[in-house]
Amino acid sequence: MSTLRNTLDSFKDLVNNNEKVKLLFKNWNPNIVIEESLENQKFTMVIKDQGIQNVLEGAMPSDHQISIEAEEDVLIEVFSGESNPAEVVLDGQMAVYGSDSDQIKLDAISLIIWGM
Amino acid sequence: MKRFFEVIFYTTVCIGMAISTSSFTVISGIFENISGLGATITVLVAVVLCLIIASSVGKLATMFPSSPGIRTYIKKGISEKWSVFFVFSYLIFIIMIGSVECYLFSSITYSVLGLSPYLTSFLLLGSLVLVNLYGFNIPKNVQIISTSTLVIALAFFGAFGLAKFNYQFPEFINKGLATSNLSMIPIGLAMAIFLFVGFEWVTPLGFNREAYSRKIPRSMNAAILINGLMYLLLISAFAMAMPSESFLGNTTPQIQFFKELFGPAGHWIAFVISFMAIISTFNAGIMGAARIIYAISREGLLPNWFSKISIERGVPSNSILAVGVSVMVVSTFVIYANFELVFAAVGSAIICFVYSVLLLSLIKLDNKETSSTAKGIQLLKKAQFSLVIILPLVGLLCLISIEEILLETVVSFFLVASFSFFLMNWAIAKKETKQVNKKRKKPQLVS
Repeated sequence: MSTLRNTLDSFKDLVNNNEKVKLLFKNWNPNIVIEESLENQKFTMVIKDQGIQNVLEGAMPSDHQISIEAEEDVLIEVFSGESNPAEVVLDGQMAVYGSDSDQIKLDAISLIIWGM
Repeated sequence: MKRFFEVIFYTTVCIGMAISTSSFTVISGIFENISGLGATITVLVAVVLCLIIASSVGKLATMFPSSPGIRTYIKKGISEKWSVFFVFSYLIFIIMIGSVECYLFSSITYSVLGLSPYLTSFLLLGSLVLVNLYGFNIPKNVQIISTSTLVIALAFFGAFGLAKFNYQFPEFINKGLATSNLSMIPIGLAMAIFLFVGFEWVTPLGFNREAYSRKIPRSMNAAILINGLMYLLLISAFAMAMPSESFLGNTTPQIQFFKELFGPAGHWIAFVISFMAIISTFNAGIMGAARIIYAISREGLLPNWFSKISIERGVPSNSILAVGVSVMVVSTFVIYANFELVFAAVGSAIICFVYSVLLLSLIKLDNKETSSTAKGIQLLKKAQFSLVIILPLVGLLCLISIEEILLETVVSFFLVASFSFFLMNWAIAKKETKQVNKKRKKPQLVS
């Protein structure tokens, strides 16, 4: 299992055990497609019932889709709380494709979990 | 079909952000300096300049897809410090232009409905802030339809005006040559560029990476050409319908134009058009500014208070409040002091400087990455380099374009630059302290 996959699984556990994040996920059910740009690894986080239902390998398109693209190191740092996602996006190291509110909700996850 | 919808969406975003109530004030300002033929030449030159700027912004967007534009582009191209300086200048520009928009719409509402400008301004901004705090988003289809209707209606009214006032091209040229002060074209140019400002707002909105390679750059070009055509029709019709002295100090010339076209009922058309224009720009402008404030606050450049969010609605509540209240306070001042022309001139100057710095960022980044010898690319690079110098000069000309408010515009511009400089130093010091201490406060969350 890849390091990125492990990181995403740990992230899923952290999110699903946080009551405040559940509030954030209310009426919000996107598929978050995470693309690692160097080795072209793709994962999909399925958000459903106020939590991360699954982390699947590959891209699973949906009507409400958010895409995140970056190099593996950057993704690992962001999903393990070592980097502030807002700074990484401002620095052009990570691209997030989604509506304004989707982007803010994503960013808010790290605010709630790690306070950063 | 999906691809077509995407391109239409991007194009209408660019068009919608460029057409505002102040566009008509700018047309009036152009006519104060030059007449119909000169204004036509001015708009044509502005189209060419904006196409060059758009090609550069498009390239920057391809390099940094989905990034919050100006902050990332200038940081990567020039330096952290200047990026922060221009971000603050840009935010002040948005607040100034937002207040001018508010003033102009309030003036039209006053002349049509007799409502107090202060009350209109309060109701407009209050409802906008509430709608955004609630997290209501205008559906994309509605945005496309409303912006398309607006641009088609304006082009139609322009063409209708030309037909009604028996427009004949040779006569237009001869009259223009006889009355135009063509030496004033550079001053008109600064104002004409303002007619197209806003196309760059599409850059953070790409649906995916592919959108940045072709669709977004082409959409910006298409929007500039469509708006250019619409403005040419409208400006020619204005020149035919209204005597040049009627533009002096007239910030809402569309009211008189539509009255000339449709009689007393024309002011209702002016009201509806102005309402559609402000809706297409205002909401996106306020939200865009709030998003920038939220992002730089998350980065540590502003206090954590600005990154407070509504947890259920996913909106940056305090940033929205900050922008809404700032525009409300400044627009009250604009209404009280009649500062609309001063702020419009200062806004035009600021945006000329911002575009110049964006071009410089691209030139610097391009030198690091490519060394193409293709003739077309070399020509474009020369044009970009020339604009880095020309645009600030055009901006400065804009500041001195209206003699009656020369002192106010120069002082206001100096104050904006000084305040941005102060904010830059304060914000960078704050960020550095935060990084050194590694104390990251957890923002409060609204349930």
